[in-house]
Amino acid sequence: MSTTPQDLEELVGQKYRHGFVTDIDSDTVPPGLDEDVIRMISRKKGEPGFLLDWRLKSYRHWQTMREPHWAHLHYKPIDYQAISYYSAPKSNKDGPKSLADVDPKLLATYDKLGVPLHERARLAGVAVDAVFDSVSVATTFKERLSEAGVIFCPFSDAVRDHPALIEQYLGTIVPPGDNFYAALNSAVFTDGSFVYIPKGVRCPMELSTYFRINAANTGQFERTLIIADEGSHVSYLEGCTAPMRDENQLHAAVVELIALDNAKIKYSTVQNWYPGDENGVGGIYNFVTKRGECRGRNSHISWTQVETGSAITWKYPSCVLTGEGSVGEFYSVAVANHYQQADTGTKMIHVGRNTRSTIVSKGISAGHAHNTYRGLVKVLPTAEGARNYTQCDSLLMGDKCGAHTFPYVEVRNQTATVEHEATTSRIGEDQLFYLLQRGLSQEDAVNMIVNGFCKSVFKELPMEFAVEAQNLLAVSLEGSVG
Amino acid sequence: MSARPDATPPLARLQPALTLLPGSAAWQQWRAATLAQLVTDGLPTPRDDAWKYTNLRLLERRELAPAAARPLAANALEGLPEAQGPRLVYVNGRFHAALSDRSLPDGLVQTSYRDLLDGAPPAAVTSPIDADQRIRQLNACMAADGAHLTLTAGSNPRLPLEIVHLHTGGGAYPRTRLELGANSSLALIEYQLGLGNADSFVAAVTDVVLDAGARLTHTTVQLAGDRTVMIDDAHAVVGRDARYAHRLVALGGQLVRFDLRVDLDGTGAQADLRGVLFADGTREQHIRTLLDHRVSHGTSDQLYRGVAGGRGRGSYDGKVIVRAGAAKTSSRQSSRNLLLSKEASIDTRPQLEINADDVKCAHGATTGTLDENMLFYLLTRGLDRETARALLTYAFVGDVLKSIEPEAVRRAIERRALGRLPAAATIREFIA
Repeated sequence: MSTTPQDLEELVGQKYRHGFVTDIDSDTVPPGLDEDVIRMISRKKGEPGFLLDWRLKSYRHWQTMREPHWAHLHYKPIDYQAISYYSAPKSNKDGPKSLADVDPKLLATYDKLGVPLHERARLAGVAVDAVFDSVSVATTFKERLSEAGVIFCPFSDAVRDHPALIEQYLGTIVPPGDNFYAALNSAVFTDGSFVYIPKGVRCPMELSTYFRINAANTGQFERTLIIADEGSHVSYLEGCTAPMRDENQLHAAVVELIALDNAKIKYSTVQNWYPGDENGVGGIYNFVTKRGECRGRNSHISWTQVETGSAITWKYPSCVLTGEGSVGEFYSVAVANHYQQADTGTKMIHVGRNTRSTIVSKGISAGHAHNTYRGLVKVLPTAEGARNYTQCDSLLMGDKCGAHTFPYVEVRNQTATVEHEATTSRIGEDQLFYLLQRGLSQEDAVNMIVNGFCKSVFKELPMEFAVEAQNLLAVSLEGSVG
Repeated sequence: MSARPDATPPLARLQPALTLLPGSAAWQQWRAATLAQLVTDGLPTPRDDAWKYTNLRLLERRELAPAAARPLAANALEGLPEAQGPRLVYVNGRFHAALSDRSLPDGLVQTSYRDLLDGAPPAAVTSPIDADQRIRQLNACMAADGAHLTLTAGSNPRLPLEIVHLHTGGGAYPRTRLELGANSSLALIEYQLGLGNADSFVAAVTDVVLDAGARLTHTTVQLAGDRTVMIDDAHAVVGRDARYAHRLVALGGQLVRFDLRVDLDGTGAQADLRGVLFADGTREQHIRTLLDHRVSHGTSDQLYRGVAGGRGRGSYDGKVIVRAGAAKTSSRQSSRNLLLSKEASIDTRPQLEINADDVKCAHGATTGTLDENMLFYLLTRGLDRETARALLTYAFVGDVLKSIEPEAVRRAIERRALGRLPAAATIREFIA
């Protein structure tokens, strides 16, 4: 395999496509975090008292916690006082009422990102909630969704319009004290998406949130809560981008999913935060807690993620399989190039009888990157007949990168069957030779092999995203084979 | 502070025992300082990542001080398979000449760990490889005797060397070191045997160094007593084109952990590790392996089987590290575990840490119960359920057991393992 150094440099020099900054007036609080900042965030958002108390309680708990360092990640300590915890576009004081009120500059931003916010949304059949820095700027297709009884709105609207639902479910899956970053998020979260699918409703379209960090020196802390009532079905997509900056920005989100009897939630993520440049300068620190509970019988939660961005990824979308016969799935492609570091995986906690889980994880490392799969499969004594199958494969491109696999398998029930398989290798010379010999270029051949390697995950993505993910993968890895 | 004796941390209770140990002033000084540090740090707990699955709570109330010498009955070694070669016997960590057969073959030179105690503590003893090897450090503090063996280059003794560690209660800190010269080869069989039913604590350390082209087959047979807490820490450094094979059969003990670290230090070095743990009753058996591929062209193969029954607990925690530059590494790791009862549990953590691209690494781990189809097949052949289950359990660990050499030892171990299964007599007919 020979690519000349010039080729490599040229290709590695590929620019991050989403690295522009939108010059927009924004309302940003000065950096720093104390109870006053939290009170101010809460006041700005006009939140009910219970939520402020909840935030303050989380903050006090967070102060007693220590930053976790067990992950296979190396980074400079984060100064939590140097981050601004709230930034919102200022153009419209009371927030946009409809798409027409949205600052055209913002819309242009989303156009550049390829978010189908306008008419294109209808064509794509995707309802979008766009979160810009800390606040949600637009939600499309609200009417059509409300006809079906689906609530899909920014988190702050949900707090205003459906406080009962929020109070009932918020923090029940990821409690504020769950971990360091979840506690921080609980204290300072600014917006996010809220979804409620009523009994027996099949959500008529794909729901989608697009996250973007724009302002400098800010962190983004969003919170997503999805409740699928009995017999309902929803597919939810999430995409993220950020401008190119030299400093590291923090993103600490929390996602909670609840599936009741016979409900199904499919949660897909294409994470493309700015990964830093080829020397490892800048990039997003992505510390995310995602967890779903299959609370009802025969409920189903499926996580699919394509992780190509972020300087640091720390993310373990998990399923707590409480309901009898419930199913958890995790499909992941994580790509790390240059100096990116990813420590990601899943947790499957089997509580109920006859629960099943499947984990398919594909890690690709190139350049100086380190990619770690870390997963837990835990079968509790109550989980009669539980079944898990785990497969993690790692692909290494270059001799400076690393691929690590840290699976934890803890079985407390003899009727359970748990299988784990993992392999690590580089692209087979014989495969490459075969494709070159058929007339493919080196790049195309590598792309084809990598796509084949990830196929079992991509096929789980909704159509529109699968195409995007494939392209993203190609861009992320171009020039990394040598 | 309360006056109850067990309110003092167990390590602090060891302090008076230090003065009874042999050794130079430099040693005593190092011991006192190291033990003080250990007392400050405390025993490892499940909060320490390397000890996630091993809980040493049992030690809180256990006497850790080295046991006093006691007369032994002539038939003390009755529980062992027949000796296959020269045998060195250590009772509670101290050499026992009367029970030993010291007719060592040509090329094998025996000295004693005790000789080291006259000078200053050597770096090989005082500096642990990992930051968190507190039990290894504890052994270095408390060890007063041990086998130091050197096999000269090119020697190839025909008979295996046996080292027997006999534990009769109280603390024991055996320390063994074996160095194999270039192109020599040896079979070493280590027995950990418990005598009687007294509370024991054993912290054993075995260090093995293989020069270029050397070959060692190292078998550890663990037959500790039912009231024994044992941490057995082995470390092998394997040189160029040398081959280290390890076999572990863990049958006894109350809580036993076997820690094995293998450094493939020269190009073309090989490691072949196999082991079986059998955690029945209320036993806890833990295996932890760390395979460090430091240079290129290394090969490692690991095959571990765990069986847990009753309220037994087992764990396998294995890590393979491939360092940057260790190209052409080939590594396989397999951990399969069988749960035989409702309350039995096994945890596994097969880990890969890979920093080079031209490698082939794979691992697999399974945990489950006996296959219903296989059981059904045996039932249709007229076996009763209990026998069928026992036969399948025996077959499950068979891959590992059959790799034990020499044959006489293997047969003895197989008999031992069989004895732990129900319907042993019937099964014996099938496999005889």
